[in-house]
Amino acid sequence: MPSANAKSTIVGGPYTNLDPAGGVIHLNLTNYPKDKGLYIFQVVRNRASDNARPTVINMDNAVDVVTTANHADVVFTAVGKFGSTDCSVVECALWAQFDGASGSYQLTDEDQYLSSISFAAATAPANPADTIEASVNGAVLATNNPGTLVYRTPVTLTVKTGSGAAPTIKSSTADCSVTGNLIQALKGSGGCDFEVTSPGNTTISKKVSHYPFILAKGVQIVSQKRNSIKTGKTVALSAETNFGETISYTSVTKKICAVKGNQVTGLKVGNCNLALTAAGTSNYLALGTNLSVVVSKK
Amino acid sequence: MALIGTSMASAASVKSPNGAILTVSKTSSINTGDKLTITGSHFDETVGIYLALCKIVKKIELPTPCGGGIDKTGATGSSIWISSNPPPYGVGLAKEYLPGGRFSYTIRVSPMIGKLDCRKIACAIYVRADHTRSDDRSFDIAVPITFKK
Repeated sequence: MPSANAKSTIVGGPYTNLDPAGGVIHLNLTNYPKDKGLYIFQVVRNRASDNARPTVINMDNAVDVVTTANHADVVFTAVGKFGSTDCSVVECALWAQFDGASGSYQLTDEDQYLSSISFAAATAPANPADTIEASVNGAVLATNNPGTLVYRTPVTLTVKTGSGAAPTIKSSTADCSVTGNLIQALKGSGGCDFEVTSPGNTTISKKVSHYPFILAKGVQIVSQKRNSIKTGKTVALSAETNFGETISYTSVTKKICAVKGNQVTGLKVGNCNLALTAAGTSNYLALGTNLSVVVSKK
Repeated sequence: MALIGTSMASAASVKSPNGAILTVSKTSSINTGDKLTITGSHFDETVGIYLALCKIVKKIELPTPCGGGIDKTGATGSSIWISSNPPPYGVGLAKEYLPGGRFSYTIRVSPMIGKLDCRKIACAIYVRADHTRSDDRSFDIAVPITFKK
């Protein structure tokens, strides 16, 4: 039986950097009275003297270590705030005393502060995240459903943010490029991902969204400035497509016009029909189209 | 690498295994200050490149030294950085590829690369991957040129 002056030996921890939402402390009790229970309280430490009984006690998380309890591991869950007490402002501690069945309301030799306790800084409540809506040609994009981007066919990525903050757009891969809000594919296969970031503002948090695109082959275009020719005259047609491929011309109406390289000669009044071809690559399709040039009288 | 014939006197083209074609308008009897037109086609637009006059090195080696060196600032004008997707600091410095992986630039050349004299050593107009992948030799293309002695 412990002497009148003996106190239970209570060790444990952790006592610092506790989670303010519920910091778990493990306590090991030895040399405790076998016939009496103990309360463990979270309290505001009373600095009137070393063992001055606390006057502010949190009853909600009190642990009654009854005689049959597992004294080797008593679990106590401390909180950052209770009642009007904020443990980041005042000194909180764990306090032990006999329980109600053992004369808890009397000053006893079991009264002791186990340790002061402190908590990790409470995380400031997060601002709500911003919202981002991205669209191309009026069609709203999904972050989980890839759009299609055609090789070297720039499109405008229109972005609206809920906060009104100016967004930034960047390509996550080298296969696409971004200039302002103009995005384009530098390849005709594979995929790209564009990262859109809104910085948010003082009340709305940053938001990052990713928009995937599948890349598709480009279409070669021929810009022709001539659509008519006089008989006996020779004119130059476009030599290259928009992707720099050499255009091969073949006259389908050999009596109306003759062609050599990209030079066409009007032979006879009529419609000069030309077949145009150009090689394709992994980035763009081969060209295969027709061109009609009116051959008129000189 | 395949040397491709060209119709222009002393012009030459080289086609790399990946299909990129580099053409130099004049490759022999070049005088100091001559302007060379260098054109490219079918380059991989996702890979930034440098275009410069360099000492010819073994194929496994980084072409260096080159006239102008790495021209991050764009100040020297003797090498050209071509990239359609440069790092942020390269925006405005790097020249974009034209669609189809094309480019065309005219550069004024000198036979001197630092203290090296291209009238005495072998030099070439080189294309190589830019500093974002400077160890990658698969994008190197060289069109040898010679200066008038």
